[in-house]
Amino acid sequence: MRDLWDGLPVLAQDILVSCALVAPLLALGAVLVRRYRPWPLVGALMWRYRWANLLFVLLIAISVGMGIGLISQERGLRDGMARAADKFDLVVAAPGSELTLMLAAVFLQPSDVPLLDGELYNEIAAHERVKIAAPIAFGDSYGDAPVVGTIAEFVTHLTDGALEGRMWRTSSEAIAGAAVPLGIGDRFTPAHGMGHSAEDGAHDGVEMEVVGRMPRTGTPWDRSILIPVEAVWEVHGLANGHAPERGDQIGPPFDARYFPGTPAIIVRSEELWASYALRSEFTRDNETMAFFPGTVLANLYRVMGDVRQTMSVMAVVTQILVGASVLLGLFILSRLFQRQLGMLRAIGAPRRFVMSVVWLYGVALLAAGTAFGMLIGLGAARIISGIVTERTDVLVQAGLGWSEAHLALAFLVVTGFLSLLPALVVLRQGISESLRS
Amino acid sequence: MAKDAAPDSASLEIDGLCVATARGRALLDVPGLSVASGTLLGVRGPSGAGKSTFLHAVSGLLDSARGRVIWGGEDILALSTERRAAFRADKVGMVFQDFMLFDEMSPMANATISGLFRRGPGLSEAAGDLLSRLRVRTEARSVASYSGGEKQRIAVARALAARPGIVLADEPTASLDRVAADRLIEDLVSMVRSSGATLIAVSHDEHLLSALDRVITLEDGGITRDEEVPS
Repeated sequence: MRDLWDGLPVLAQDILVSCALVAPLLALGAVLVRRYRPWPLVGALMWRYRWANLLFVLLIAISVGMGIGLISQERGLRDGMARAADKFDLVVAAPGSELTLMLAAVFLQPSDVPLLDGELYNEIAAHERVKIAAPIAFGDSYGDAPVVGTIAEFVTHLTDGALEGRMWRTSSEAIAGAAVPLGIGDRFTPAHGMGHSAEDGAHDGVEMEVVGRMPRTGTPWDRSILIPVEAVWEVHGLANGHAPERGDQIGPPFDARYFPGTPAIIVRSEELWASYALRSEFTRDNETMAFFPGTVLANLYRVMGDVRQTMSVMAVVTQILVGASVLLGLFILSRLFQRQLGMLRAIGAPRRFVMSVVWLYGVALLAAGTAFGMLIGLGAARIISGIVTERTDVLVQAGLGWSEAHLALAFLVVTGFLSLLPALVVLRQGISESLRS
Repeated sequence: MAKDAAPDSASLEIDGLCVATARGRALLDVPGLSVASGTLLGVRGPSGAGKSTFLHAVSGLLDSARGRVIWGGEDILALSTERRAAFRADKVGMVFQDFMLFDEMSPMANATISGLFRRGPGLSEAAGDLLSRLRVRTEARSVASYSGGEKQRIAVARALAARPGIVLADEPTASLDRVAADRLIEDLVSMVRSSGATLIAVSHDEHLLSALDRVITLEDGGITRDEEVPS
C-alpha cells in the first residue's frame, strides 16, 4: 500500500489528500440533505441576515487569509532563496561561518572575511574536474548596487549566455544587473564600501563604462554591477593578478605572485558527483572550507521548518478561535430565526431537514469565508512577496499551493463538523417554545 | 363551489388531555372532546386561558402533553416526535397569527415550502390554484412588500396546498385590519368547507368565530362552554 502511494505522482497524492480531507464533510452533508431541498431556505436566511453574514465571512476570510498568506510567503521565500543559490554549486572560502560566507557570496551581503591566496585559486582552477573557478571580490558599490569583481565565465554562467550588449574586454568595462539603473554606454565611478559607510570619493579618477546588461535572474545579482576582478584589485592599488608584462590580460590564468586574494571562489564542476569530491578535497583544516550553499540553505530551512510549524500552529489556533466565534455567532443567529425553524417543524418538517438548514447555513458561511480567505491570502502573500523581493532582490513568488489548500480544507472540515452544534441546539428547543419565542 | 376531495379529513377525539409546566402547574385540562370530521371549530377565551396550548397539544407540538388526542383513529400523542412530524406534514395545515412566511421567497415558494422536505404529487399545481383563488399576485420574487392580508392569504395557501384533512389556525386575523380580516375569513372558511377538512381556529375575532360551526370557550385551561354557532 505504501509502495502504491509512493508510486503516485505528487499531484495525484495532493488531490487524494484533499479528497480525503473533504470527504467526511461531504458525507455528512449527503446524509443530512438526502431527499430534501433545503437550499431555498438557506438562501433566504443568507439574504435576511446578509450584513451579519458578510461580517462573519470577512472574519473567517481574514483568519484563513492570514494563515495561508504566512505559509505561502514562507514557502515562496524558501523557493526564492533556493533559486538564488541554484547557480552556486560549491563555494570555497577561508574557514569560518558557512552561513556568513553564503550570505556574502550568494546573496551579496558582504562581510569581512579572510582572503584566499593565488596558489589555492590556481590549484582549484587547474583541477581536472573544475569547469569554472570564479573569484568573487566585493566591497565597492555604486548607489545601492554592489560592485562585484569576477571573471567573464562566471557572468556567462549566471546569465546562461543571454547577455544584452557584450562581455567586458578591458578592466574599465562593466556588466550591469537587470535592476541597476544604468544602461549600456553609461559611465560610473564606484564608491568604496557599501551603504551608509560608502566613501564616494575614494576611487576618484576611476571610471567604468557599462557595456552589457544581464537579463533578470530573480536573485540579488540583479542589482549588482559585475566588473573584471582585475579592476577591483586595481582600484584598490593592488596587483591585478597578472605579471606586469601581462598587465592588460583580463581573466584567468592568474599569476599567484600577483594575486592579491579573494574572499571566495565559486566552483562549478563538470558533474554533480565531482562537486562532492571537490568539497572533500578542498575542505582542509585551518586552510580552506568548501560547502554547498544548498546544504547551508537546507540547514537554514530546518530551522525555518520549526518556524513554519510554529506559524502553522498559530494560524490553526487563530482559525479555531475565529471558528469558535463564528459558531457563537451562529448560535445567536439561529436564535433569530428560531421562530421560522419552529414553524417548519410545526408544519411537519423532520428534524433532519431543520438540522440540514441550520448546518448548511453555517457551512455556507464557512465555505465562502474560506474561499475568500484563500484569495486574501494569495493577495497578501503577493504584496509581501513584492516587498521582500524589492528589499532583498530574492525573487519571492508566493502563490497558493496544495499545502495552503489542505490547511484551508482542514479548517473547513473541522468547523463544518462543529457547525452541527448550533443545529443540535436549535432542535433541543420545543416547537411550541420556538413558535412563541 | 364544488366540494373538493378531502382525502385526509379527520375527526378528533380528546380523552384526558393534560398539559402542565415542568413544575406541575396545569396549563390545559380537557377531560374529553369530540369533533366530527369536517367541523369548523372555534376556540375562544381570554388571554392566558390555554387556547394556543390547546392548539399545540392537538397538533402534537407539545411533548409534555398527556392523555389521548385521536385524529381519525390515530392517537398522535402515542407517536414518536418524528412520526408526529410526519403526521402533521401529511394531514395538518397550519396558519399562524403573524404569517410566518419567508419574506425573501416568492409567494409560490412560500406556498410550496413543504415540498422541500416531503414528496407529494401536485403540490405546485394545488398551490398555484389556491393562490389564484385567493387573488394573490404571484409574479413577485419576494413577499417582503406584500400587505398583511396578502401575506396571510399566502399562509392559507401554504396550509391548504398539500390538501390536509385538518387545518389549525392560531389567531389568523389578529394581525390584519378589519377589511383584510373579513376577506381572509371569507376565503379561509369557504376553502376549508369546500375541501371538507376539519378546522380548529383559535381566535378572539367574533367575525371569524361566527362564521364557524361550533365554538368552545377555554378558561384557566378548561373548556367552560361548548356551543353550536347558529347558521
